[in-house]
Amino acid sequence: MADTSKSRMTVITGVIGEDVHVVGIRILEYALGEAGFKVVALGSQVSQKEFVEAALEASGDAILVSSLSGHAATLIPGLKEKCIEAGLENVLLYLGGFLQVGEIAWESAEAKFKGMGMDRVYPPGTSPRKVIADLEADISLRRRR
Amino acid sequence: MEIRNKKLTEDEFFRERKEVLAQWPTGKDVDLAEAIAFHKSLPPHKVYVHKLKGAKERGEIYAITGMGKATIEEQIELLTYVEQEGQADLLGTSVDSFSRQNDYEEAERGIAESRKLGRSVLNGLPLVNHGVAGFRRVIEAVNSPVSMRYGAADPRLIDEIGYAGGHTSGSTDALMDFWHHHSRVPLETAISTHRYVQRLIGYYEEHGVPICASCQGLYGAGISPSLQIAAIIVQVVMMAEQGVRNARLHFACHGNLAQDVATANVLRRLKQDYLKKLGYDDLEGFLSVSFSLVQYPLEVGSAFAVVFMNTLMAKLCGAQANDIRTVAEAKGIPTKEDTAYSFRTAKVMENFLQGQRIEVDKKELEIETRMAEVEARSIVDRVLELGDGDVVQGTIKAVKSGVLDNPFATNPASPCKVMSIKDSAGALRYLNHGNLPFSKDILEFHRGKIAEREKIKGKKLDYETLVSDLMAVSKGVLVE
Repeated sequence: MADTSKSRMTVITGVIGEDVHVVGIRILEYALGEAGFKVVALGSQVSQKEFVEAALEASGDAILVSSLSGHAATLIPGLKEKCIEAGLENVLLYLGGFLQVGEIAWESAEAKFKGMGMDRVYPPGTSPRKVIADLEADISLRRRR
Repeated sequence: MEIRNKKLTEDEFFRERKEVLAQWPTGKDVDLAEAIAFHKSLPPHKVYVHKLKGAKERGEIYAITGMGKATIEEQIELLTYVEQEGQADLLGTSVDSFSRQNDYEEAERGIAESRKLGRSVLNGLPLVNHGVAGFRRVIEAVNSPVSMRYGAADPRLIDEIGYAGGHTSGSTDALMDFWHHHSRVPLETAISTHRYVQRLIGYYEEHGVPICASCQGLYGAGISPSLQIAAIIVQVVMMAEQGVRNARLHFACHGNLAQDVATANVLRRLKQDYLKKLGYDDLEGFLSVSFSLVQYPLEVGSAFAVVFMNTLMAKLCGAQANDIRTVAEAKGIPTKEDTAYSFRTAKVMENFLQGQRIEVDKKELEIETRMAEVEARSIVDRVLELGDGDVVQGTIKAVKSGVLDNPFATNPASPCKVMSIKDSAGALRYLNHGNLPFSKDILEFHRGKIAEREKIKGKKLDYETLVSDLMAVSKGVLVE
């Protein structure tokens, strides 16, 4: 069952914007819980402000943002800045889902969202296993700073 | 004030109604007495309940799906095409997403834009904007009953206009709208607005107009039968209190046919039992099924197989309505031809099966029925206990605490602790039962079934198996 040594690793999850599709993020939350993370699930239709407030309140290590509408390019700018303003510059920002409409090379999309302050950006079809491994490595590294 | 399962008095209903009709200018054109007279003038073949009663008597199955365009002209073109080319027996109105959020101003802009471009830019028909007179033109143009198909936290004005316009069926699903369609609406609010539309249907019924309500509770793949049965039963009790007399009970089939048929049997039995136990007259129930999958197949041959399977499920379950998605589901918004082909496929399959008797394996059916029944009863009984006999209060408490849970709710007020996975025969089993009030025996049964699949696969089932379950049908298999 859950490894309690990791239970202090806290992640905030949610779907940004107007979208109500949650199957992907729910599976990820389930996997995170099984792996021993504390998960603060905000559901769908979450605003940037709500992500930041939840991270403040729960002392989150990371915010996992899902976006499925293809409108991530308009929904993501400003999130990193809001984290910094709230004194959360050390909180990791992960982004995944269907981020854009049309066929644009993944590498350029990844670079674009990293330029907006995202620490990791995942294409569709990413296994929760990969995200969990990245979170464990990144959070441990941040905590050693 | 605490909301309870109590029929709205006429005073309460008409007081609330004044506010509802003032939400948009077309509300003032709703005249209930005139609408009742209009419904009474409809021939039986345009009335949903009459049509479904006929289907039940003759053992027929009718395909249904949602269809919606921005303008009345396009809507008439679509529905008449599907009626003629698709041989559809029942029609549906999908309502656009702006209206579902009660944003009638944005819907108005969508209509104007659609007229300018000569094609629909909305994903459904904005019923409120077109008003009663607008939708009456659709009813006059078609020869089949039309049902409203949409979900909204506040469906009150849409339903007022929709029924007065001539729809003879609609949805009244507070749990579905709370769980799946909005992330910030409290359950109390959803129950209150849906109570109003149930009361509206009750008012039509009291005046001799049959309206078919409907509910399904949960939506989508990975939803265990007993959870769905419980969510339907508690809502049937709420509907009966408000005077609903006819309801289409819709549930998801997952592809293990013994389990699917068991769900139908238990749903029928518990509907009767709980209504009787709680002192209500039985309401006329019709069954409707859909093959539930997260990802539909993109390839067209496989997509037709899904329509066949859906129809076979309806046949085995003794359902009257065969709720299909079009063969273009994985691609995007279907064309009228996509919709007509899909209806025609279902119709021909139904013709082939008509009059034949087919059955699933008796022994398997018996096991699945016993499990679904004992599980669903555990949940419903606990709901009633939590509400001290009041199903509304019990449901509110049960949903908050996860006694009545949903694995894939969009609303963070739902615990989402429960998770189901397929066994090696494609039947759904609880991988995690969260806070569902299940006995040790029930849990052992599920664990045993999961262990059988683990043995075959040679590994522990986890979320990766769950992902593969949700994608399986899109790859042309039931379970990988």
